[in-house]
Amino acid sequence: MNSETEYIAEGRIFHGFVPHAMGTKLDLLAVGTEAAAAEALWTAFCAELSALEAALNRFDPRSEVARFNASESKAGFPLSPAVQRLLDLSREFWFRTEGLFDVTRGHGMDLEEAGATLDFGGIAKGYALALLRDRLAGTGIASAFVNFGDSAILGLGTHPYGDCWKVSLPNPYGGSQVAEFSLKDRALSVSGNTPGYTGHIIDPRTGRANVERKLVAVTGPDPLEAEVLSTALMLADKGQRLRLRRAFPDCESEIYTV
Amino acid sequence: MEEKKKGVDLGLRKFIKELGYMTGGAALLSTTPWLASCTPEKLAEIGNAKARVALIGTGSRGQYHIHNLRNIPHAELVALCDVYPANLEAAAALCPEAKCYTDYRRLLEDKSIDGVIIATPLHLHARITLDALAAGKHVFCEKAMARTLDDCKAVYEAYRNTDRALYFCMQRMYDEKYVKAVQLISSGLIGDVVGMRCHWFRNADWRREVPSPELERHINWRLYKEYSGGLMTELGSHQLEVCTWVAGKIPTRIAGFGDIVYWKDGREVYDSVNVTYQFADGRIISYESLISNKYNGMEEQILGHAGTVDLSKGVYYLEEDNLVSGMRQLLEQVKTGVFAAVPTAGPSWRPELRAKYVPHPVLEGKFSISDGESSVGFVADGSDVILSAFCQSCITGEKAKDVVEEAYCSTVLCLLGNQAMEEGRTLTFPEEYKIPYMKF
Ligand SMILES: NC(=O)c1ccc[n+]([C@@H]2O[C@H](COP(=O)([O-])OP(=O)(O)OC[C@H]3O[C@@H](n4cnc5c(N)ncnc54)[C@H](O)[C@@H]3O)[C@@H](O)[C@H]2O)c1
Repeated sequence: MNSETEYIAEGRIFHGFVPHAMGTKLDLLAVGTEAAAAEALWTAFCAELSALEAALNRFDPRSEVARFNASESKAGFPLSPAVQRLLDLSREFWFRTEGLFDVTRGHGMDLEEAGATLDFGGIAKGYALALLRDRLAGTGIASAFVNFGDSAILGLGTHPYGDCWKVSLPNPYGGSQVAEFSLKDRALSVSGNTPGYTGHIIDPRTGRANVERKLVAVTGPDPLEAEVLSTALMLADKGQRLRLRRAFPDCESEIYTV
Repeated sequence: MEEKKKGVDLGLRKFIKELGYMTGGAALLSTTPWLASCTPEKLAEIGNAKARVALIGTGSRGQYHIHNLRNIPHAELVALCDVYPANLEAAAALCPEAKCYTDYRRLLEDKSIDGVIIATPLHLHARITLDALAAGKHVFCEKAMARTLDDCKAVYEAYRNTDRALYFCMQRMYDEKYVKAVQLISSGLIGDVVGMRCHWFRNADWRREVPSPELERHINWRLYKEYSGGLMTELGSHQLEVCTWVAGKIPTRIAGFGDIVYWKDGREVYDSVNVTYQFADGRIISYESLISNKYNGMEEQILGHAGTVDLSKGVYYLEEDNLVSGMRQLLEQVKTGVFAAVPTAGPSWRPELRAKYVPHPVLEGKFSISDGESSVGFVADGSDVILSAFCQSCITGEKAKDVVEEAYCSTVLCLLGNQAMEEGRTLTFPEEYKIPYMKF
């Protein structure tokens, strides 16, 4: 996996950048760290991210998920512990979101059902952020900002000159900004459509793509929960929204029509 | 006070240390020839010598200079002079070893004094400067140069005929961020300079408290035309100097409007001015100052066809800033000590955001920026460095190139601006006040 790093001695800031991962890019800004410790953490994380991508990329025929999707007998397919763990987590979230979050592409988590395939696209970035968060904690780095493709963001501790990390959400259709978030040990996940990329969120109940000019932003302590909830809220009706918010009490969410 | 002292000291040392590197390039020396007389090598040559200097005018700016002098190892403040006992006493308390005078002419008789620092009201600058040069002193006088055009001319002529060093406190010429920015401009960073916009906005009446009514004009001299040229000489002189420095040219036509808009308290000088200066090639300096609204703060914007430099803030902006991502902005923030939201959140990855104007600092690391609200001075704004350079000149006798000329140009422009506003007409730069230094 290609990556670039930079260390700013004044301020003890480490910047790591992965230009291509899971269809997007990832930046880590770690504050108050020695260069060597951050480099070591970064190398280990990049290896982990690389392995995860190799396993989950359903468009790569060699990946575990692609092979699983292509296999005749899914029950007998030996899943690696990492993918099994993601699958277990996804099942939990499927329950908590009343089926709105579904990695089986509309098959209600029933992998035996004909045509059922796995797609971890809606959870993988959050999962990677959670892994990185744990590594940062393990290295004793309390202040960091991680941006995974703009839609999955993690702010740990505070900006070196502020009391949190501040991120704003510009309107993808142009015009003024939609919202501003203050993150302190919180993740932010944004789902929605953009002018150039519409219809990537599929309603598992109907199989139809959501094409509304709508954005959902969720913040919460757990990047995984935030990511799952933002996808589910994109599809939820009024009643479901209320119940979803109750099912994810640690998260705060907002839906914007843009 | 302790902290201020430290700040000044650090700024001064840092500047002198980096001057060697900064003046290394021929490009820089051509944009700041005055720095050639105070290089670190020349400072080293003077060894332990000390300039014996005196301060005339011990009001707020004079006392600010006393603090700066303490951090200049090659300076010794030996005498003080003021006609107003309260200020003389306050200064004497800061510097008990200095001899006190109430008549500056007596002070000038002291042969052991090498140089004088003049921080009196504007109308006295010329007279005291001329007397001090005549007495064989090196002179450091506060800006602006003089209250009238004829006084400016007289000072300039005296300077041409003396071997003494003469400085006017145009501190931006010695402020690292200005020096660097002007160097960047001359290296073509913002393309052709197409215009300049300077302004200084404050929201304060500019008054000082008067202990007894007969002292009103003495203490609030800034508000009366006999002593002061108002906003133009007090604030505009610094900013117009920067314009002539960058342009290397003097405007030929001057027009403007001004009035007393808000502070109708018996003052005579305008509290709102707006003057336009046009160069022979058509380019314009737009100058504005208002002291009943501070929203716009203080800025000196040099507008180029490829970018903008805000000299007072030490930042530049490029017209076409190659797509700066939110992460780049965040990196700039943590490097320069700024905390603000980064516009990086979005529903899915998209190509980099189209940049709005992104500020790029002209210097690495932290540097001091004035908000323009103080009427005394700002920490490490170059005032300490120019004073140090003067003290060095008192020892070496070396003049600082172009400092007097720059002060002359900007002061004449300020005074012409006042004249244009008062007479309500467009002036052409008068022949009789042209000097060989000026290019049009
Ligand atoms: N370079 C800068 O950034 C900057 C900043 C502030 C002030 N200044 C300049 O400094 C000068 C003084 O300003 P200030 O704010 O200190 O004013 P001030 O009124 O506080 O001080 C002026 C002092 O001069 C004294 N004085 C008047 N007549 C005198 C005489 N004949 N002999 C001796 N002393 C006399 C006054 O009693 C007073 O103490 C002005 O020219 C002003 O433009 C420059």
